[in-house]
Amino acid sequence: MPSKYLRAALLALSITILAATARCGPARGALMAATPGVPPASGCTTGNHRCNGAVPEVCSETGRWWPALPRDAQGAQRACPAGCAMTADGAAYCAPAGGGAR
Amino acid sequence: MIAPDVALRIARARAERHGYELVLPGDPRREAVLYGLAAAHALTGSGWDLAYAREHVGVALPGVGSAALGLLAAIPYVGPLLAGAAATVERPQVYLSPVALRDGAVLLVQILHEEGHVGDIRRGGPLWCLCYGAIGEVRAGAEAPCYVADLAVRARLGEDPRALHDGALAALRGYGLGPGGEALAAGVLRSGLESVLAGGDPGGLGAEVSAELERVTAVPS
Repeated sequence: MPSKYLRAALLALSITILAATARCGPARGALMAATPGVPPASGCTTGNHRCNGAVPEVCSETGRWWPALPRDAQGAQRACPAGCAMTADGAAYCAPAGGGAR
Repeated sequence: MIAPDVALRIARARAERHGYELVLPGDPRREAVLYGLAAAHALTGSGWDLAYAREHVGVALPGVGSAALGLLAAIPYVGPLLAGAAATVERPQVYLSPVALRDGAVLLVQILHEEGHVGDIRRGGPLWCLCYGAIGEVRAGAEAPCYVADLAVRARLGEDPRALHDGALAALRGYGLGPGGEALAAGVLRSGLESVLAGGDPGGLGAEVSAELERVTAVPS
């Protein structure tokens, strides 16, 4: 197939995917489920925080636990050097070295 | 105060160490990237201030050989330019803003912010890039932790954490995250703020920056 037709097909496909996923719940869900790095839907309560080991996480509207720390440049999840803790009102945070609560 | 040349030395060393290319302002590829991103944001209906982005925004892109290039190429009008820009190198690229080159602290912050995106791209591949462009929640899950990195570094450099938190929240509203994405971003930023206020070091980033500064300013004996 001539490359210009292949490019046009790719273009049409990408526009379709972009439009569908931006506006269609099932398409969004399917794409997220298939994408490495997107947390799985777990049924958590939207807005809740938790400590997943040394990583603070926040629950999204689709019930996914998203890390509150970035990845490093190699793709590994960054963590709290001195561990994760919870505030009295339920926010997860990186604890200071030597302990101490908020 | 961090001298821009010191920060640039750190940035170049990190780029070499972590295997990505640093693209400085003035490189024509950067302009192509900005126009491409503006077009992509226009497609999905999210607002994006091109003039502000041209001066302030850094960008991370996948490298050649990645299927993400095919998706980049398919973005209307500027896709081939974007893919052409990305295809000139094999490694992921980090595009720095003009403001970053004038302010050493801004440069360090931008590098560590964009490294988070480089890591996301390496972990998630082309599907991640598509999700990032199309889905507000994914964009929030990608950007908010990188703004926590900004908060961690800038707080370590002496800036006010609460002001940094509020500034990050305001900045994230420009990403078209939608109500759910904005709520997620707010939760992530709250975590970052609580970490810094407690004396914690989100992701070890503060210590990492301190170590980098000591390394480049150490006087050989």
